Amino acid sequence: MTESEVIFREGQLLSGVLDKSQFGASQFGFVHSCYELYGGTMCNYLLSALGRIFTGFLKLYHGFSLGVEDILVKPMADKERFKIIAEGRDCGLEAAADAFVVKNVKDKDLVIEKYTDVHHTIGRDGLKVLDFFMKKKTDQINNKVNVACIPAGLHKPFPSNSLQLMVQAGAKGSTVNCMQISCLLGQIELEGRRPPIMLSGRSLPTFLPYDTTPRSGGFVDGRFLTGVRPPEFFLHAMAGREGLVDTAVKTSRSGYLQRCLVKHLEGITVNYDLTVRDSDGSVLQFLYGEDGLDISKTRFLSSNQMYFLEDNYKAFLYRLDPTSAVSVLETTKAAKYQRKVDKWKKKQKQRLATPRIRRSGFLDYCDQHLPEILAKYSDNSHSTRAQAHRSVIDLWYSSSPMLRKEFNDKHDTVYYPTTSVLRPDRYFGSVPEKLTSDIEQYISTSPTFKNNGNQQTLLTPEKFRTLSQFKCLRAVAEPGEPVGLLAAQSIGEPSTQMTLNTFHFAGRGEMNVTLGIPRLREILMTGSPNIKTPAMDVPLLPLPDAKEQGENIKKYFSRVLLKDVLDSVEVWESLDRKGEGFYHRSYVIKLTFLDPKYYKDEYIVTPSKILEFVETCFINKLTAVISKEIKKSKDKLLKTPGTYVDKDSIPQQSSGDDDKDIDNEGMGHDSDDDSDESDVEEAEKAIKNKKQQVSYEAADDEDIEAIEGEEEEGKEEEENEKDTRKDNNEESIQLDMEAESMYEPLPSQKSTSMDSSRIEAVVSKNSHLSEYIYDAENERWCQFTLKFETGNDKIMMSYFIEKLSNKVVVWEVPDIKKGFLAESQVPGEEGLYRLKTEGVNMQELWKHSDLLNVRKAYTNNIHIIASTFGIEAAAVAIIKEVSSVFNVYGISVNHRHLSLIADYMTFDGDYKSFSRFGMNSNSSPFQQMSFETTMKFLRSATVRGDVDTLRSPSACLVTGNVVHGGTGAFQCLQKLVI
Amino acid sequence: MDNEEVTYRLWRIRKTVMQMCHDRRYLVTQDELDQTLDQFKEQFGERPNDGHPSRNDLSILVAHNDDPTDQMFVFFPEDPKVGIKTIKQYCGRMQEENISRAIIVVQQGMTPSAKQALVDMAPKYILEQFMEAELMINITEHELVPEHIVMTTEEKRELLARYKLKEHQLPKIQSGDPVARYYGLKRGQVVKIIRPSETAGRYVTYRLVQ
Repeated sequence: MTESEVIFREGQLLSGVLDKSQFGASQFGFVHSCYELYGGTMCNYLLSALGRIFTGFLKLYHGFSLGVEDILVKPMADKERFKIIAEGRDCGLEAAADAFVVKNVKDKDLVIEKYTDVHHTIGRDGLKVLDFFMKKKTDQINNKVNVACIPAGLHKPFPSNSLQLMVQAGAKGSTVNCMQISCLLGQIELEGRRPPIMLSGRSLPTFLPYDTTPRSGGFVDGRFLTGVRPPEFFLHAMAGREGLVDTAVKTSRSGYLQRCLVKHLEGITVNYDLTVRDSDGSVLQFLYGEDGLDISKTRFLSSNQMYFLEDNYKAFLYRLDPTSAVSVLETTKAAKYQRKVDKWKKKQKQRLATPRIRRSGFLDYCDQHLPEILAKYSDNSHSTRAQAHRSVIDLWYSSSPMLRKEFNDKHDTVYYPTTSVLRPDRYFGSVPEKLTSDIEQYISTSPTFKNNGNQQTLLTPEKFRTLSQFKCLRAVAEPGEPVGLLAAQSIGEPSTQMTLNTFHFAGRGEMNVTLGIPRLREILMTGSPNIKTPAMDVPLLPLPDAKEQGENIKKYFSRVLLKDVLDSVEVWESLDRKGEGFYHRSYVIKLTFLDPKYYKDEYIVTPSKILEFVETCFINKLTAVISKEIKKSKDKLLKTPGTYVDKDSIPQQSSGDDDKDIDNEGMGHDSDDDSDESDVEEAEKAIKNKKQQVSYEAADDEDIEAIEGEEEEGKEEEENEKDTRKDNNEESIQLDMEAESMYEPLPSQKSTSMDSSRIEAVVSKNSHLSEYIYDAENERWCQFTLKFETGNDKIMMSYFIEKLSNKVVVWEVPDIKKGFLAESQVPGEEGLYRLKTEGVNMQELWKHSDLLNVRKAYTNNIHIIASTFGIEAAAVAIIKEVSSVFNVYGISVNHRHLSLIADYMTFDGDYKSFSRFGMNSNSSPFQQMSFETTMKFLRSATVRGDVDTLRSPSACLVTGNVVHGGTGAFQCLQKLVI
Repeated sequence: MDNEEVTYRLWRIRKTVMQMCHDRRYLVTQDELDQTLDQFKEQFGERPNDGHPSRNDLSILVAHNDDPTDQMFVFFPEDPKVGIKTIKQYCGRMQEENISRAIIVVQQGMTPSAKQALVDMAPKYILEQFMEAELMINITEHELVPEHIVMTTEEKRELLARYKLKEHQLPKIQSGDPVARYYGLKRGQVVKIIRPSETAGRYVTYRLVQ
């Protein structure tokens, strides 16, 4: 018994401290318990009394004020604080050295050089790493300072310190506020990152370029008490503004989400037969929330609050008043039926096993009769067994229908849950199965019932069971309850709490997952089959070599592009005269591949596979691309004959087509190509911009277009991604080329180890290809010669190779980008591995059902769940997905709300969203029209001659009637004359 | 695909088909339900690419639990894309043996005319089409799929009367839904669904096949 345990007996406080967790809005607190035991009126008195005591106490006896005294820090602590901060100022270099993998921590120049490089690369992924290491360091400083100052270093210690009192009691303010006042402001963050650095390499003009001190990265070591320096104040204001922007922006997003939900669900109420129906009478759930209980009344019915029921047996007895209810209840049937269910459940181990063991009356019959028939045969081969089976089937049919029924009944009779057979509001004891087992569990474990009941209160297990069942009866949801609205608000309200700064992705391991409001919109509002981050998740079977097998299968699912295994590309160009005025350009291209040791843990491909791919696929694709390009430039030439000036008819050998390179060499190469290319680029850009505009407009305007728009955006993103990847690669390729530019082409003499028939096969397939040699030993490189009639135009060969190598796929499983193997985080699966993939392809998983536990295969794409596992599975997936979005923010939404929403979305047998298109299936034209696109719905209602029965809330409001929910759910049969 | 892979595939598919027949209340013996890969190889051979077994060898004929005359064929056509000729051939066979139901397990797909033929033949001959890829596993064994029980017309009438419902007020399931196809449901039938529930333990709901 401690102070944290509050015990009241007979109106007396026996133990415990009463504070915010008792008076406040916390679950199972003092006020809640009173409400549960004595009802609303009594609770009202209690709250008024408490309010008067507290204000009276503050007014008359105590008073309350804050002063500078409360935020001051002792000199000793202040000294310590300065010391820590001074030490911390140097830690930036260490963090940066760690981030950029510089071994000598003191080598400041090298660190800054690397920092500059990272800043100049496209994508700037290195900065994220720096952020990570820097935050680790600054967090340490932050913690140390806080420990030194609060609470030990405070000038005035806790009980007499008013600010601390306020924070500790939970009246106002948090520890973060105290720290910002007395310790330091800490790391400033913008969009989850440290403040960005400008092109000059500084975060603010005050700092040096590529300054590695924490201060320049937004770590503010000043405090409000003694003031903050101007640059730091500036950064702090930036973060403050971001907060304001976020709140301003997110309200509209979540507001629209909530409106969509409300508009669709407004008519859903509990009916007098306890079903949950929409206003047109269609049944969404046969019992609200699957157990028929009202959420607000079930708090004290959970398994961990059973003791409260036991301790307050008498008060509950008084409040629930069983005697008055018994007269209108049927009291025996439900208990009788429940016993039958329990008995049946014990017997049905096979049916309830996972996976289900298939049994039937016929199989039982076989077990009885097959052995004796088989005994007649001498052998046990397939044909004799089949024969035996046939005779058993004949025997089965020839036996009497009564006998067959007897056998069948054993397996065909199913005892359904009591609540589905006997209405819980009429039949006393018709209690959800979960609650029944909770009650029985409590009775069997509670110490009170071990020695045959509580002697003082004469509480026996039977009495307790009856009381709990009564509590459950009283908790049944009332007819008229607007459960649709409740569900809509229960999703809408927490979504306003989800801040937008975790908007795009939050890393889950290495995989990106859409989260927050964008994901909610995806699941609920658009319901699009193309989601932003599709993924699969499947556990591995618990085999002894699961990890190795898993690694293999991970590689199998990872896509390999040619550029992923390409080490370098070398191109030698030459020009041959071929008759009058015609030239052949020939290109000798050498592709060198990476050493397999670099990629063998990541990719499934082997050097021979890569070589084969280049031979059979890549060369042909390359020639196709080049031919197309030549044709294009020829067409252009025909249109602008003025450019027909012979500029470089001299055969030249150059390292490649890099314009800069050539210019440097003083070859004075044509600027034509250059401008052409930039033209093309510009055109591409223009198209992209246009696309973007379209998608922006669409997003604001039409929803279906929004879906398309999003698709486009997605594509664009992909393109961008590809571009950046390419750019990264480009550099390395160029570097390689520069280094090897003075190399002569390899002698094209075939070494004896090469297979001439193989070479023959490759060369014969392509008319542009004249020579082909390859590394027969290690299969690490290959070299081929391509010839083109190009006229005067130069072909940017290495550019095209590079571009193509970013696109062509050496190995992939359709629709899947990458596989991951991780140890399972799911409770109950410790030590097991899970395979996760980016992209979805269920059928591919089935191929590996000997290794993967396909019974638990899951994807976040609900459309795919619906089309592979059916609509019921999709309903479960909706619940899972929505609750996992909220879980990230530590919010849990009651299962009853989620299940109602899932049942609404799957009512028609397919996945319907809370959008205008989901509204199409609504039967009330007024409700449709009051949502969006009024004219469209009005027109279709008029054309089809639809009738509004004026049952939906919208229709009632439009026509000035009382809404049929809550107390409007019933009417007087007797006409009242006033 | 090599022999090993095809054999594995065929074994899995045949096993799922057997389970499906059993779940539709056709008579299937325990041997066939529990058949292991080795037993499959022993019975049918293990070189499917050389026609041993050919897909035709796998075809199944099952009789219904309650009515010996209600029988169902399961065909495994050889050609990857099934044409109208094969369908005609199967129909001839069904006519001969006076059987009105059949399942065709196709490798890749059907020609449009063959699909049309299936539609035209209903309701006298009911031919259902399944892809090999979707039978690689039994979807009803997946953890997300609750138990579906097909209701008789009598039970359906009772249900509608109990809640004073019109048919269209029930939740629906598409006739093309994977689970509906698994049980061979027809439009207008009602399935009883027993979901495991976080709040209630077990929850019963119904869906009308649409």
